[in-house]
Amino acid sequence: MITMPGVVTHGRLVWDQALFPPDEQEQRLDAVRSAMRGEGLDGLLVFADGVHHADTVYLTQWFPMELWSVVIVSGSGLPSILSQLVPTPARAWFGTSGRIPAFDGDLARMLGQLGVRGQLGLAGFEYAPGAVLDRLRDELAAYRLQPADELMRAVTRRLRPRELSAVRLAARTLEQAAAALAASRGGGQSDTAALVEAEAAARRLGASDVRILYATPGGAYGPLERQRDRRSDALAAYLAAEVLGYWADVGVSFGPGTADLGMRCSDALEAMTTHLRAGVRAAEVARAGLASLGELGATAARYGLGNAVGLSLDGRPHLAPDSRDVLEQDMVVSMRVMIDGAAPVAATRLALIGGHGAEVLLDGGPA
Amino acid sequence: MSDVPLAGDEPVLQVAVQRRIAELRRRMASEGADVALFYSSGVHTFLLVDHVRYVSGFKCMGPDAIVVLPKDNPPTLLVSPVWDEDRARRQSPIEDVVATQDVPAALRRLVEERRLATAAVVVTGLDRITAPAREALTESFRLPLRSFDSSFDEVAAIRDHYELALARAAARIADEANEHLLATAAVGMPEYVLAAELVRFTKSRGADDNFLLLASSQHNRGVRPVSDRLLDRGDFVISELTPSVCGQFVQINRTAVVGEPAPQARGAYDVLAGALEAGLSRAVAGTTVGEMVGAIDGMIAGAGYGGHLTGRRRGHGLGLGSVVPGDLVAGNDTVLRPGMIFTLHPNQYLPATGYLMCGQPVLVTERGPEVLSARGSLSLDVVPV
Repeated sequence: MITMPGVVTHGRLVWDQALFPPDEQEQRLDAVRSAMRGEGLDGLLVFADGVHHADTVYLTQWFPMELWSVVIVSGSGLPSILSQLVPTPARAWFGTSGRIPAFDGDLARMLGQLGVRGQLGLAGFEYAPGAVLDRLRDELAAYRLQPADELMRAVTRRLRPRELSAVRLAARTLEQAAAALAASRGGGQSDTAALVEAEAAARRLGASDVRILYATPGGAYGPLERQRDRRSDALAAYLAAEVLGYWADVGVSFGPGTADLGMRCSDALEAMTTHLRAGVRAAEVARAGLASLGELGATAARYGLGNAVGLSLDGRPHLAPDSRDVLEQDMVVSMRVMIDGAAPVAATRLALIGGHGAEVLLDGGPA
Repeated sequence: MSDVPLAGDEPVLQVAVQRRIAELRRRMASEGADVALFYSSGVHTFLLVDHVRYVSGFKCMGPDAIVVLPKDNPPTLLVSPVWDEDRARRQSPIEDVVATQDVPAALRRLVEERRLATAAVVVTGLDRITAPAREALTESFRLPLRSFDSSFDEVAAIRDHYELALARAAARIADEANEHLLATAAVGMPEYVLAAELVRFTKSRGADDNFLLLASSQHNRGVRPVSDRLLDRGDFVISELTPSVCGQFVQINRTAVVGEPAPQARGAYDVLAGALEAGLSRAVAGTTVGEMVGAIDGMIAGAGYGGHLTGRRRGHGLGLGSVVPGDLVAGNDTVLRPGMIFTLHPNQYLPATGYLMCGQPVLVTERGPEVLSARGSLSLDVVPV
């Protein structure tokens, strides 16, 4: 789901070595290197900024804050981090580090020192400034550069067991956030005050990033931007939280008229869930939901019917009728039905695709 | 409930946007430009300008947003995702809003439909535009794209009434947040819980975002993102409290000690407070940033800490509008002018105490510097235990 990023993430930004011990990182790196060998890559450059950093977190447990940074994966040794603010060794898993390239030969020298020659993969650079990409290409003219986004996606789209633990932790965090939202509503607070309480609840439990979209009668979903004294008859909210780098989301709705609409949304989620199996196309899941929703399908489709989540809140595959992606075991999928208008409703289901169907991690809908 | 009165659909913003567009058009005319393009990637950093927000009043969610400003015809605001159209129409006075899932493709169509391919085009933030969006720009227009950054900075460097009102509101929230920090921090509290409470507080007062960095230690080496460290008696809690109101950020830098600080700590902090006053005395129109920084560094060196000067910036501009005068470093020759806003912070590592933070948001006026924080001279704060 596309949401409004904050200017900086601030929360429990730590490398939780109890959950992700060094051997976890070693196994992840092995998986990436295996994929690199399959593609004939001698090295891999991974771009990140303060918002787009899934692959960097996967490789190093580091959450970059600045405009851009690069992680280098060579054929041996730990990943190297190049950034403006280099993390301390206690906070991330990496070997060498340095400043972001000035592109005066420094990047090429570092690659040489790491033994990287020949073919180099680039991942995450769709988010990079074009000017940075130009300078990188100029400096690395001696290398054969090739896109490596699909390589990283192939490695990361199926969540590892410890990653699933983090997603479950994020889901439990959101349960508390949803409860705080409900309590604030019940206490008579305004729409936005209640949403602020929900965010606070998630952050107190360690969420480092919290995203909110909400709708009141007559309006579309939008981010929480301004405080208003208004308390609407109905309120629908989409809440998402990042905990230790992993995302979960949940929809919550309040107000008259949401019960019936909520039932229809729940039916659609059930219909989608029955198709949520490894080997099934994402399009099939989406079509099942749309078929169930009937005339509500157009509204729901505007906001999207869901997508894979994990290190990204807006990961592939997207559940869309034209998607060609195929679902795989150990993917976590967020399914959602978001209806705006006179009676807004946000209904969601977070589910893990297991060996024998879907395991529901978190349901959300009318309170 | 917050007393922040300003929302994107207020007439004040409309007037501000119209004035900005008119001024930018004057600059376009002087450069012979037919069209100006303003781009945002949806990655918001208060250390860089959000050009789309400045020109349209709209803060995009990304992944792309573009304002197309022809020299004569009304501007067009391209936004994504498609369901964000209502918010764009409510927030921005620009009437022609195109909401799409693919902004670069929408730009290509617009250029073709309005026959702008041979227009002389200027662009802001060329060095930050993502590769896919830049490809759409270069393929849509036949003439080479020219940078409009200097002209934009000339217009935006001097804050308008709307921005100043927002800055004052944000400064009030920052001051209140620091008081709340002192009342809330407690021994045994994880840093991230304190941060959560500060974010809650500032948002409840009307802030829409907060660039909050906070660190605690008996001896900090620098400020950093919060961790799960537990606050302890004797800790120095250093913070950059940076709330934004409708996109205008304001920053205060503070240091608090958990429990009664040692006299030497107060003495050390007073050095930085004195350096801040020295910097403020030079924060006058006509002075360069470098001269202002020199006053700060000179005061710190004069106190015997010259060996600990590292050339770190002594402050910076405050976006999401203009970030002129940029990083406050020794070599910055930008001349201060009335209407510029920045944070001035002689934060400094001192051997006896570690890194201390001391800084104020400043508005340069005709009559000298105006500190936007209500707090006068700074001293070491205390978290009671």
